[in-house]
Amino acid sequence: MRARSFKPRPAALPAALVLIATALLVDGGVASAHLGSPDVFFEGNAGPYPLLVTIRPPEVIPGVAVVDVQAPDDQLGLVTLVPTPLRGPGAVLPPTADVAHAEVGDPHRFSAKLWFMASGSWQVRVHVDGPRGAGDLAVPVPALALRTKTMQRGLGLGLAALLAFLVAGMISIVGASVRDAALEPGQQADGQRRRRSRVAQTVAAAVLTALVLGGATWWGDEASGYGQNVYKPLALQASTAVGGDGVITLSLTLTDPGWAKSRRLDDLVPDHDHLMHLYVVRVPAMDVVAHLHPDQGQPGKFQRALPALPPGDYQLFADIVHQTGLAETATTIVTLPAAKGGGPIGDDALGTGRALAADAATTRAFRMPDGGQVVWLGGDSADPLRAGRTTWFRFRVDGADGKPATDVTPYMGMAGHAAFIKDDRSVFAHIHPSGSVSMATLALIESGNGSGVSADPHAAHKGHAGHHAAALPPEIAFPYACPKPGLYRIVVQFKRGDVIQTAFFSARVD
Amino acid sequence: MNPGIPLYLWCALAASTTVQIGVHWDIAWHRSIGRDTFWSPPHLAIYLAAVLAAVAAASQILGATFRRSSPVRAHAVQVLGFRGPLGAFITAWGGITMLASAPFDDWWHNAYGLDVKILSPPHVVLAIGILCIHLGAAIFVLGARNRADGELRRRLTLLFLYVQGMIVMALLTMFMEKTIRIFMHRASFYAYVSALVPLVFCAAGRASGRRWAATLTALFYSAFLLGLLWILPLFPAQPKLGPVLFPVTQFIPPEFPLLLIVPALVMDLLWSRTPDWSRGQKAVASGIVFATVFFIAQWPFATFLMSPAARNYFFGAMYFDFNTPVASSYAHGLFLPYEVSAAAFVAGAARVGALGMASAWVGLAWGDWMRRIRR
Ligand SMILES: [Cu+2]
Repeated sequence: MRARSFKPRPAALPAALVLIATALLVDGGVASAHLGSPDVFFEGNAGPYPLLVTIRPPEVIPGVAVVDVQAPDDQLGLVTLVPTPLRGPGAVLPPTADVAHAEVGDPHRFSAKLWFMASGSWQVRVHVDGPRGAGDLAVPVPALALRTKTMQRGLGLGLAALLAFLVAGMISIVGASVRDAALEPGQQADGQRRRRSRVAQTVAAAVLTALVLGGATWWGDEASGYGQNVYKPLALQASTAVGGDGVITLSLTLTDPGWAKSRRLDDLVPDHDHLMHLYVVRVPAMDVVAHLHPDQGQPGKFQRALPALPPGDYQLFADIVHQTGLAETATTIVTLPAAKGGGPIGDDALGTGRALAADAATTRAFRMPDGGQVVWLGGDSADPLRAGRTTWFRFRVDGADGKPATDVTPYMGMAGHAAFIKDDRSVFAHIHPSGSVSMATLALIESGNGSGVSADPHAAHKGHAGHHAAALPPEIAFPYACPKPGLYRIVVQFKRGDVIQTAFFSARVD
Repeated sequence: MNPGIPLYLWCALAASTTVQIGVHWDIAWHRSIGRDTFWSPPHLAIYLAAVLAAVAAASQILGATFRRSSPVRAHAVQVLGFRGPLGAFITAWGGITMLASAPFDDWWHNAYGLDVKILSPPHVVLAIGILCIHLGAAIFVLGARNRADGELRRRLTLLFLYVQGMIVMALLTMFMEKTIRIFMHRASFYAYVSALVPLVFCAAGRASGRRWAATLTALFYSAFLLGLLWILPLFPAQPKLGPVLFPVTQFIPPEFPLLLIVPALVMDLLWSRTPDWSRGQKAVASGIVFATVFFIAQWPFATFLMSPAARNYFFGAMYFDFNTPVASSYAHGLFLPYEVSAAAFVAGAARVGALGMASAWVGLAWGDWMRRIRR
């Protein structure tokens, strides 16, 4: 069976389109398992106030992050923000906090720009003050170099012209120094001085050329040194084999293309009980989606018997979390032959919907095979989705009787899981009701957070303790902002009783 | 202000002074506050120096170039079709280079991040511009001095040596990261200082022809640095950038000046006793004297600077950047380990001596040339 790796065209995958991770993982990094979607979304309580915090990390480090704090229920008086490293002595001595300024026309919204000085695991400590007292919330943020910048043509030409002028000026100054400088006032340079001046100018030209070339080499070295810090995602290879029972076994191999020395493949930790969360998405239609949990054999090698999937091309998105807190998504394409299915097992889920291309516009409801329905609430045509704007994607699960379901139970510790995938597959994000930070990362932060500020997500969405079967509300909401305009597939997965269900939506983002 | 010294020279000297204040203010800013903008006060001081330099240069060049009757013409040189004193052109070149480094540096920050180190390509462009501001001011002053006599000549000589002190400041600042006190028991530290400083001392001595030229140069350097050391911490400052590893409440000044005054004194004595020596002889002797005397003075003084006794306002060894790890050798008052073997020590010493001699030779030749400047 043939597997080919997914090689996106440069146009489809700009340089910035890499998952966030750290260049200098001194004390471990935090990243959200996403592709082309580096922003951090975090829902949590600062004291009595529920907040939704969006952090757009800088692309170069040191750099400026844009932080947006929404308090949907409260009129806050003061919001201050301060970034500190997640752990270590830097977490104990915060720099002067920045005061977030209220957005014009929206009293529930505050924003600020924050400097991130070094790569690695950071937290943004949010302090709020309002009518019901003060509160604090810590949001984990990965600060990682995502790209190097090239110089704009105009600036480059301007600086080159200036350089040429300065070189010419210096050669002329050297010439004048040798020719005229020692002449008594009023005297004229003789032929010998003029000749020596010409020699000196030739030597100066050679020396300056060497200096400029040396400087260019140095610049190149510095740039490539920085380039090595730019995050490189793990590579994923996939192959398939049909067993004697007619069931396909999918084999996955993660390889490190070389980046931070601290990144290893033998340090994966479980997120929602699983070392890998694998989304198998039929492309280009995105009408069949399986959410599987392959088992790790050797470090970096995973296997899973596939459920009954129609033959064709599938994009794989594999989420893993390292012990350092770094979460990564690896991706590739695999072609599946016709075969029998092994059927979903445990937390695995399989769903079928309409082809994405058939939904040129946003869809509002999805009919379940069991007669139930999932309704996407709000976001009506008067309030279209906009790229980069954080929105609550709210869904209500209805039973076959048309009434809101009363039997929604936690699915892998969460009220629901949502995957946002752009039609060109340049964006993939796995989102929970508490936001984009993986639960494994949060658990690591809570165990190692020396700051004394809790990084607890909203209690209602709290993770792994929630394997109890108590029914959850029928409404599930995910905070997210689609990073760029276009058509997105949203795959919402949740559990009713013991049955995992998958709902498909399309979203047109302006 | 002395009526004998023309305004444009004061302007060039002000540029030379302002740029050193701006640079050290900026470094103190980065060590205590951390975050700045393109328009931070220290940056403005640096740009102001470039503007002062441009004004000083333009006041001489424009008249000499466009007015036939200009008195400047008689002692002008020609550069790219313009006329003016040589110092004006070097000063102007330095000012333009400094201003050119600004957009380059800004782009560098955006592309690769903030000022994480002093020695980056845009900073070296800035440093070259700054050096040319000083050099231009020195030659500006020297041209006037060499045409003058009497009291005016004496005063201009002193101002020339002041600029030499600023040049020592500028050169050592460029290599500040390599010459802080944790390195002071390493050969590399003595190599940097021996490569940079004898050049300026020798040039000052030869070009000025004045007794105690090196000592005065070292005095100007030491006084300026002590001023920074004692004044900057009087102003409060708070880190605005994490990670904050060390509590900081005021501006962090530069370290206590190097004891350059000691080898300078000995060099001046040497020169006063050996007026007939050739340049080569003088270079060998000056280089060895500088390297040896500086080593003898600085090594034990560095030990003192590392001791708790130096952690006070006068010696300033208790100031640490906000991002100095508390566990670092710097914070603990420990030297980085020095050369491990006797062979390495001898090799290091030989390197330091050779650099000192080469530096002295270049300085003497440079000074001899500068002494002849009339324009
Ligand atoms: Cu999930």
